[in-house]
Order: sequence, then C-alpha cells, then structure tokens
Amino acid sequence: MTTVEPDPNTPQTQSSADSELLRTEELTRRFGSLVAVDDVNISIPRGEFHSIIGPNGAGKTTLFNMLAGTLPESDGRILFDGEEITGLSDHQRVQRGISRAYQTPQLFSGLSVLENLRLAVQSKNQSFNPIKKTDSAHEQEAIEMLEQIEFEAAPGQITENLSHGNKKKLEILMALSVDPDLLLLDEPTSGVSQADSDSLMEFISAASAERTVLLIEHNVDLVLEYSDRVTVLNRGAVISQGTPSYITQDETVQKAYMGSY
Amino acid sequence: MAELATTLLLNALSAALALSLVALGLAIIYGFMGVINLAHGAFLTVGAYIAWVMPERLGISFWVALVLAPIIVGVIGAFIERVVIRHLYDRLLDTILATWGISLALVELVKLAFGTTSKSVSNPLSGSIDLGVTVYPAYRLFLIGFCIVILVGVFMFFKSTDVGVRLRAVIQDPDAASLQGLNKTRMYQYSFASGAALAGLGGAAIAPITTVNPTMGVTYLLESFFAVILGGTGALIAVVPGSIIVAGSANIMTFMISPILAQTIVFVFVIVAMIVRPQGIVPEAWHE
Amino acid sequence: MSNKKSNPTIGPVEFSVVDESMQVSIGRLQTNANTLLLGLGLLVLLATPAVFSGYFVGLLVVAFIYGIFAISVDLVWGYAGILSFGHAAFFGLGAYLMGVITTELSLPSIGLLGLVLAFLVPAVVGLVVAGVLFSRGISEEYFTIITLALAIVASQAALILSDVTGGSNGLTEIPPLGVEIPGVMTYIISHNQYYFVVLVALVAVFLIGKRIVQSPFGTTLVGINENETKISSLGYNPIKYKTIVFGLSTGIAGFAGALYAAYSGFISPPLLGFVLSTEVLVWVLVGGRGTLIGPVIGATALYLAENMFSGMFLNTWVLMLGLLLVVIVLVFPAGIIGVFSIIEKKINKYLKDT
Repeated sequence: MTTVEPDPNTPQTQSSADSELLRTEELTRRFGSLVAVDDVNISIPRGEFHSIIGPNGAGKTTLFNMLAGTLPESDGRILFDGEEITGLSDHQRVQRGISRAYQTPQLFSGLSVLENLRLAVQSKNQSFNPIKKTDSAHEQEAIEMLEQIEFEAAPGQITENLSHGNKKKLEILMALSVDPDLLLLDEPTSGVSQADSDSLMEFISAASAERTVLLIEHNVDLVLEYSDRVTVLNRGAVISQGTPSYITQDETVQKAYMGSY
Repeated sequence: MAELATTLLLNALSAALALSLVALGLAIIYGFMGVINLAHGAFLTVGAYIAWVMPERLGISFWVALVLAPIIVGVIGAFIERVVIRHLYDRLLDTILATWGISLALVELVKLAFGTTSKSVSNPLSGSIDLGVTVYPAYRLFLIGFCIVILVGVFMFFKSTDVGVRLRAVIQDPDAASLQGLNKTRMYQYSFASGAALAGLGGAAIAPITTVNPTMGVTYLLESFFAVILGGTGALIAVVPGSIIVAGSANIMTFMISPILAQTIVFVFVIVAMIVRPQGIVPEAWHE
Repeated sequence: MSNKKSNPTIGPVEFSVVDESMQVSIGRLQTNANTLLLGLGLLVLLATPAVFSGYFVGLLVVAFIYGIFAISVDLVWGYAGILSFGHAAFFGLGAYLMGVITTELSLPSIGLLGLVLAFLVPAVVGLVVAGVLFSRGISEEYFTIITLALAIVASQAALILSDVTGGSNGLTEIPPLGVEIPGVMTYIISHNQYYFVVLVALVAVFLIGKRIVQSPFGTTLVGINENETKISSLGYNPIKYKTIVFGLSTGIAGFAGALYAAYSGFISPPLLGFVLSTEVLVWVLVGGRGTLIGPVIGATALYLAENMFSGMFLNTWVLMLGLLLVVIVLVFPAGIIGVFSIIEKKINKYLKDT
C-alpha cells in the first residue's frame, strides 16, 4: 500500500466522520494478473465536488464501475452514507442515492427525449402495476428538468438522432433526474466543444450544488476550476490527493501525469 | 448380467459419441460466431437422408455416402452463411429466427422429396463381434471408433495447429479474433460450414442404427444444445461430458422407462443443472 | 457466455416514418387515422357473421384466438425483447386446464371458472419459470432455448400423463362456454355467438395490452429492451420487470388456449409443442413486433391464408412459412405495420389539410 502524504490544506471541517458520504477501503479490482484498481482508499465528505484524474489506463472508469455496482469488487469495501454497499447491484445503489452518467451516453435510442427523462424521474416511484397511467407529475418533472438546460432538440424527438452534445446533456440530466446524493460523472465534456464544455460544467456545478459530485475529467483546467479536492490515480493506485492548488504543486503528480500532459 | 450391462453401456457410449459429433458442430458455430443455429437438426436430417438415398436409391456405397454427406451439408452450410447469416451478425436473436426458418424449409424440402414415411438404411456392416463379455453389432462398434477418431482429429486440430490455437483464443474471448490476425468473414464462413458438416456427418453415421425421418432432427437439435449448455461454452471439449450425460443417461434409462419419459427427465434435469450452474459442469481449468 | 455478441436490438419496431409532428414512439397508435381505421375495422368485423358463411366465421374465431395469443407474445418479445420459443406450452396449458376442468367437473358455469384458472395457472408458472431463470442470470439466448425445451417437454408430458390428458388421443367433447345459474337460467353460447365473445375478448386484450405498453411499467420494458444496463443504472431492477411481463404474457396465452378449447371441443398434445410456438412468432414477426395490432393482423392474415389457400400449396405451406421467416428477418424486420405507417402518414396529412 502506498502511503499518500495528506494535503495539509484540506479543510478540516469537512473531514469529521458524520459528514462523510462515500468511503472506500482497500478497494481493488483485478482482471487476471492485471490490477486495474489497486488498494484505493478515498473518503468523500458530503457536498464535495471531487475530481479523479490520471493518465489513460489509470483505472478511473474501473473505479467508477465498482462504485456504481456495474463491476464486482475483487477486494475491499465501499461505504456509502455510513452503510456498507459492497456487493450490492447497481440498481440497489441507485436506490441508496448513487447515480452515474456514462462517458458514452447510454440513451434509449428509440424513445423520445422526454420519455428518456421520464424513465429516469419515475425510477424514484417505481410501480409494478402494469396498467397504471403515466403520472402527470412525472411528466411535468421531466419537462422541468429539460428546461434547466439549453437543449436544441424538441422534447418529442427520438434520441437516436440527437447531436453528440445533446446526447451528453441528456445523459447528465438523466443521472440528475434520479435525484442522487452522489453523482458520478465520467468525462461529461468529452467530445463537446470548448464553449459548450464551459457552459456544461457551469450547469453541472449549479445543478449539483446540493449534491456530492465525483468527476472523471481529462480537461485539467476544468478540474482545477471546479473541484474542491482532487484524487490522482496512476496505474490503479492513488498517488496524490488534495486541493487543486496542492495537486498542481505535487511533484509526484507532475512526474506521473502533468509531465506527460 | 454382465452381458446386459456391457451391451447397455456400449449402446449409451455410441449414442453419447454420436451426439458429441453433432454437438461439437453446434459448439463450433456458437463459439466462433455467437450464432445459435436452430437449423442444426435439419443439417443432421439432410446428412441422414444422404446416407439413405445413396445406397438405397442410387446404388452408391454407404461408405461413399458417409464421406459425401459432410461435404454436401458443409457446402449447404457455407451457402446459407453467405446468403442469410452473414447479414445478421449484429442481430443475435434474429439469427435464431432465421436459422429456425431455414430449418423448417429444409425439413419440408426433405418431406417433398422423399415423403414423410420413415426410412431404414440397411446395415453396411452386418454381423456381430464377440467381445468375450457380450456379442455386439459390428456397425455400432465401428461407430464408436469412428466418432472417437473424428473427435480426436478435431481436437488435435485445435490443440496442435497454429490456426487451431488462434481459433481457440477466439472461443474464450470473441473480441480476440482481430488480435489473432484472423480474417473474420472467412472464419465465420468456415465455422458455419464445418459446424454444418459435423451435423451432416453425425446424421449419416447414425442413419443405419436409427429410423430416418424428416422430423428426426428436432430431438438431436435439443440434445445437442443441452450437451453444449451442460458442458459449458468455454471449451469445445466440454461437449463430450455434456453429451455423455444427455445421451448416455437417456439411453440407459430407456431400458427401464419409455424413451419419451427418459428424454423428458433428461431435459428437466439439464434445465435444473443450468439454473444451478449456468457456466456449465466443466471446470474452468478445462478452458485452456 | 452471454457476451458473444453485443446487444441485439430487436423491437419495439418504430414506425419507420417518423416526423416531428407525430411524436411517435413505443408503437403508440395515437393518431386520428388509426382510431378511424380501427373503428372502421371493428364495424366490418361486427357485420361479418351476417355476410359471410359459417365456415369463414369459424376460421375467424380461431384466427382471433390466435390474435390474442400473438398479443401475449408481442408483449414479451416486441416490448421487453424476450424471445420465447415455447409460448405454445402456456397456450396449451390453458387449453388443457379448460378441457380437464370442464369435462371432469360438472358444476354450473364451470367454463367461466376455467377461463379464470387458464389465466392464473399459466401466469404463475410463467412467473416462476422466468423468475428463477432471470434471477440466475441466464442469458437471453439460453432463455430462448430453454423455452423451446419447455414446449417439447410440455407436449411430451401431455403424452405421458394420459390419465388426465387422454395421451395422444387428446381430450374430446369439451363443452362450449355457457352461463348457468341453477334453477334460474341456463345459457349455452352457440358457435355463431362465440364469434362475438372472441371478438370482445380480442378487443379487451388489445386495449389492456395498449394500456400496459403505455404505462410507466411498459416504458420501463421498452427501456430494458433498448438498454438493460442503463435501466439498471437508473435504479430499476430489470429482472422484476421481465418476470412480471412474462407472467402476464403466459397468463394471456393460457386464456387464449382456454378460449380455443371451449370452441374447438378437441385438444391434443401438438397444441403445446414447438410448431405452434414457431407459428406465433411468425405471426408476430410478419405483423410487426412491438405494435400489438400488427401481431393480430399477422395472426389473422396468415391463419386465414393457411386455411383458404391450403389447397393451393397443400404440402408447401410450412416451406413457405420457413422461407417467409427468413425473408422477413432479412429484409423487412418491421413487418407489415411498417407499410401501414406510410399509409397512415398520408391519411394524417390529408386529415390535417381538410
């Protein structure tokens, strides 16, 4: 286990145990002999905007997959809101309050924009009654979600034909629509123009003011601008953690990551 | 008693080995292409009819038919791959439908050509051989040896040849084909053709010891599936233990109960086994 | 080994012509033209017995029963993406329940109880089968194969359990449906009246089906079919939804089977087997998956064609069926509803202009 020197500048108020939302203990994922995520210990306080950076293949998405429950943990534990969620399935974790936006938008391509959002909204009040009518409150909530963001397509449009930018936006809106405590965002701005990236991050930051955000992002400028704290992964292991200003000063990070950047 | 037991065991063995041939064809098609071939039973039926029509109607020796059957069925398979399957690689469930349609059509063509009545192929190796414990029909002994030779040959190909080793990597990881430098289009066509050929060969080989009729394929189709599923799809060789359980146990049970009941018991058993062990009965270590 | 090929994307087949004014999805029939067409169609169907011969009306009765059966298959296949090769097992189970109950027990109005049980028992069996298989993580193609085996096991079981099922001779003299209140009234539905009973059942099942696919539950099913991973990551448990819809579907299939038994008076093991299981898939496929009305049209058209032209292709019907299956899958996966949607668009345009 690599001991990471703590960042002295970390705001102490947020590290008290009762405000901790997510905690991983020795979280590990192996694929055969490859260790994709190696003994990762992170602790995210409630309300924090936390980014995970690292070179390609550092294990960022694998870590996300384990947090979201789409990939079983090889070793270690995940605690969410004080309770262990290790081994729970992805939908159970959503019900606990973790939701995730994929890097490649995963939309229901044959359904309309509004139906996609309504599916996300409805998951909070699932009904197994097969002849229940659509709740107009859900429809309304979906419309309101859509109005929060600049969206060029009509609500009734089938999502298959949306532009990439709109797909990314819808993906994020859907993740927000399940009203999560912890939002996992996997490269929300990838493939999006610089101008759109800025407005998208602006939106994410505003929409998640009350939430805890864990962000994977390649655009280091955006990470440094929005994050409260940053974790740097390299070859599956945490090599540094701290405030943006601390991270930019950290030599280990510069060697492993910024150097090649 | 020992005589009866030996006879029963040899019967079960020959049924299990013949099923292994057919199931191996199914496993090859599924392993390399991800295609569930519901036309497999029809391929077997066509093979059996070739083994019937050549000696009984055209005066060609059964042994020639046994060689020609896999070739003809293989060509049919290659043609079907070309015309139908190739266009459906990204629609897995649709290939199930399409191959079922092909199966219906092939079986109906057989009915139109030869009628619906059962045919019997006269035994090409009449007589029995004294094994000491029991006297056993010569053709069934030949069938056992023949199936073993073919199975060993196929497994040697995958074990020892360069192409075979690369192909085995594909079975374990379907995305590995491009890494192995294999021409996917050609690999798919060869897989489907050789899978079909094995079904045709199986059909021809069992023709003398069974009744040949247009609907004979369905039972073999299901038994092959169950053999493949039961063994597990991670390794081709798993079809052998799978077949031994499926065909062998049904065969032994028919000594005591009706064939239909025996088959039903086996099917129910396999479904339960799948629920308990979805990855198949064969241990992971065999997958190498 | 479910990872052999990535998500096969089957159904719900969208109307191939989609413009923004229509805002169609999930195969909704929500436009004026459709209501108009359906209304007209119903009128024609109500008038049919007065115009056509008893033989033709008799064909229609069976065709409509198969239409209900086809709707049950479309619910699982067209919407949830579950391909069942063994749905006839549930149709036949309903038929045998009806047959055994009504011939063994002589209670008043027993046929009505039979209809209820023919829905409930197959529904419970379907729930158990799907629940066990899906929760064990059986992949979709294995599920398909198991359903095929189920159909064969079911038809063999009907042969073996000859004390109850009559074995290969089947069950005969199943009484027609009737209502009987002892001492008050006895009313047996005649063959001609049965046409209307079945028509009402078909319309009711169709409307319930529509309601199901338009419900939040139905949207979730479509979501599962389109992207099961995403449905999970929105907090839905796909296994529960798939299990429930499968149970609903097998219940409806059993109900259709009971209607069949009460009409034909005779049932035998092939009713449970894979041939009928395949036929219903062809009906759904030809009509159009994920449209509800398409499968009804497919079932009616093909069943009528099979019986009316069977003289023409005496021995080639199954051959044609097989080739049709291949051709439709290859070149026309949206079925005939795909053609209708183009006509529908034209009518809509006309209605808008006037």
